[in-house]
Amino acid sequence: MPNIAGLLYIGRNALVTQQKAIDITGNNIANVNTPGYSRQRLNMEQSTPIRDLNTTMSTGVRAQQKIQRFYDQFTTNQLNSENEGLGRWEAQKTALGKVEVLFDEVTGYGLSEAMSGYWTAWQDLSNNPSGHVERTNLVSAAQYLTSTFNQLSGNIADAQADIDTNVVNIVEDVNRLASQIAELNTKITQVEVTGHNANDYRDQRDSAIFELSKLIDINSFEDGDGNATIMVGGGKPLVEGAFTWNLSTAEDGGVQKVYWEDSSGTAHDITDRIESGELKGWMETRDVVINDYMTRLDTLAGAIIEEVNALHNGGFGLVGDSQYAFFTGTNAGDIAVNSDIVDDVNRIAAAGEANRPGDESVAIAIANLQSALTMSGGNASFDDYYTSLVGDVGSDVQTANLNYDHQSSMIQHLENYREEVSGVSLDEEMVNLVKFQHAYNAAARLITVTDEMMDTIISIAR
Amino acid sequence: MRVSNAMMAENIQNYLYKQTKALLKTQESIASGKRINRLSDDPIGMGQALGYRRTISKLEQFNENITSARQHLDTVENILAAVTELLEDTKDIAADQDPSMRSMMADQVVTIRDQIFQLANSRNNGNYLFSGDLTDTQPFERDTATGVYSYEGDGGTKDHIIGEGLQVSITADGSQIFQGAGDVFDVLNDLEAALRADDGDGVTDQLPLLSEIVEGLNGVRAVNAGQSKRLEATQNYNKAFNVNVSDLLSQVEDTDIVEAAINLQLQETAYEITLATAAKIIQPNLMNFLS
Repeated sequence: MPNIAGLLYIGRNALVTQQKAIDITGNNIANVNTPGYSRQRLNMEQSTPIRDLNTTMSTGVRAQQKIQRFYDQFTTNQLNSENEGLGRWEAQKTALGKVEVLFDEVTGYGLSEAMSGYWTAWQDLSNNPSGHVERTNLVSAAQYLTSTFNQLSGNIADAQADIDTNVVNIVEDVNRLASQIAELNTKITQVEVTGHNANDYRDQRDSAIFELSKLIDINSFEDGDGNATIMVGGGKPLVEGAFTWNLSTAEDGGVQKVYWEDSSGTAHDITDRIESGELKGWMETRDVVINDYMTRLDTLAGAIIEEVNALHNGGFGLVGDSQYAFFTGTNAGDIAVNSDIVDDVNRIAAAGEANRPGDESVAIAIANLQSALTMSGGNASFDDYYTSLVGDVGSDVQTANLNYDHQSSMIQHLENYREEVSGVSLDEEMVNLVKFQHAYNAAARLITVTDEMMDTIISIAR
Repeated sequence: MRVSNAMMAENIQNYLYKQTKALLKTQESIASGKRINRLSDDPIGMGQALGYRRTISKLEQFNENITSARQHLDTVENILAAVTELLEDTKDIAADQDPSMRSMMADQVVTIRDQIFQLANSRNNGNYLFSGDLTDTQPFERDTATGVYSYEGDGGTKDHIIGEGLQVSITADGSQIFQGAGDVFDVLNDLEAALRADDGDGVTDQLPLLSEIVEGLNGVRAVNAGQSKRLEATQNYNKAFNVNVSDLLSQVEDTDIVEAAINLQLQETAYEITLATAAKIIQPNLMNFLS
């Protein structure tokens, strides 16, 4: 025979369980906009039945001890690895976007214009080799050219220095996230050893790892106790259980490099072993892309200095037979008009022989350098060489933008997958809320009915 | 497929972001009038634009050089024409039609010789025209004691760049021009001497010499005229070419305003429709219908 007190027990368990379910629904609703939150569900099951004489009596409902957290480890891993790519291209896009505007060619005030102006000034001088105005104009055009070179070179160097600041900041962020993850590892294992699920800590840890993956490429896995292990730079541990290893930066060869410190405190250079993430993006731009621009700009300036000086050193000015170099310096950073020439424009050598004021042969030879195939082993003019540099800057930015857009939409798709599993739907929660509320009300009614039944029994006895 | 609220909001935001980005870009291209506002907008087009701009700047400079060369040629032509005319007058004198006038004619020859001397020492822009590369040296000097004229210049030419790898050399060698086919000053000196000496044969002897000199001058003038013609043709060609290249440049870097306006319209419509549907989707929720 079933016990009337057992009925009360069923009612009580039902009330408690439905209330717990409403509690969790409430938590889901409250976290509908929390980034990284995975929706939770209370799983209910029947209580252990009682065998009473020759029947088996059910004893109502009970909540499982572990609250289920909806999430998909595969999508999470994929998100992390795509996020590395996103960070890399975002960094490149930002860095190159700043460099792109330095080549001010769109508006027509760039180096291309300055070079044209310089060669044109030589042609003007060839028309009137003894003209003072033509000579003064040539010096101004040359100074505009050199200052454009200097400015461009300086600005590119500044862009590289800016990147160094970013690298240092990111390494600090990596260390901060690493200790966060280690701390969460401890909390998760402490909770889960008691047989509960550490759902909220796991959400937080996933968020931290996701954030970390944007900064540097990582290799992460979870051990049986729930500890996440994170490796960076080709197998160097960053987090292992409650322990962390530090990354540090130090200047080497004029740029900030990234080091991993082992437990004895010795720093190992892992700069070249970082394959993705913002760190890779910034450093790749700094060490490969921008460095290449700088080298090519220096080559161009160096070639102009060399070619012009070779002709100019063999020519003669208006006064005497002294010969001068037109430019000083060796690269884009230090190219300058020879101060001897700035001091006295009559020293500009337009003539091939001394004291021949009407001889324009050197001026013509220098003016003809504009179209001469002096660069790239005799295949390109100065202009061709510079145009290909500008073209490469443009297509590098374009590539970075395209890759960034691609990575963004990948992330968006994966986020959608993640949301599909883990995201909170308010409609769904509302349905659940109504469902649990009805169950709660009915359970309460059950207790009232039982109470009435007991009253009836008691009144019989009276 | 489950749809979460965050997913919906995120997607709407992404689409709106994409559409506003496209709108901004079209708006930028219309406002700036340029299709290329950044190197990365069209790296290849930017390279072409730089090439075209350079070509235009070169063509303009070539034409400036040509203008300078033509101006020089015109000046030379005017001087040589004047010299030729003076020599034609001299030929009349050398014909010795009126022996009674010889002494007066001798004075006239002196005047002519001084005029030619001055013309041969002409300057353009402060530079002597007929002293080769020694443009600051007076090309002809007269030895006042002997009356002999000497050339002080050199054989240099006046060179101009008139095109890619093209140069024109204008002769500036006074000794070639005035003393090449026979020394104009010597002949005039001899003529004056013969006139003063009342030597009829000596006077008429100068006639063929004068003709030779005039022919020589005409030869130089013909070469100059040919050069001038060629320069003019090159200049016209450059001008026409410049128009073509400017057109190409505009095609590469300027916004096609009709196309841009149509794009703007399309993007605007897409944007508005997205806004309208977004407003419909994110507003309602089950709570609106639960009492």
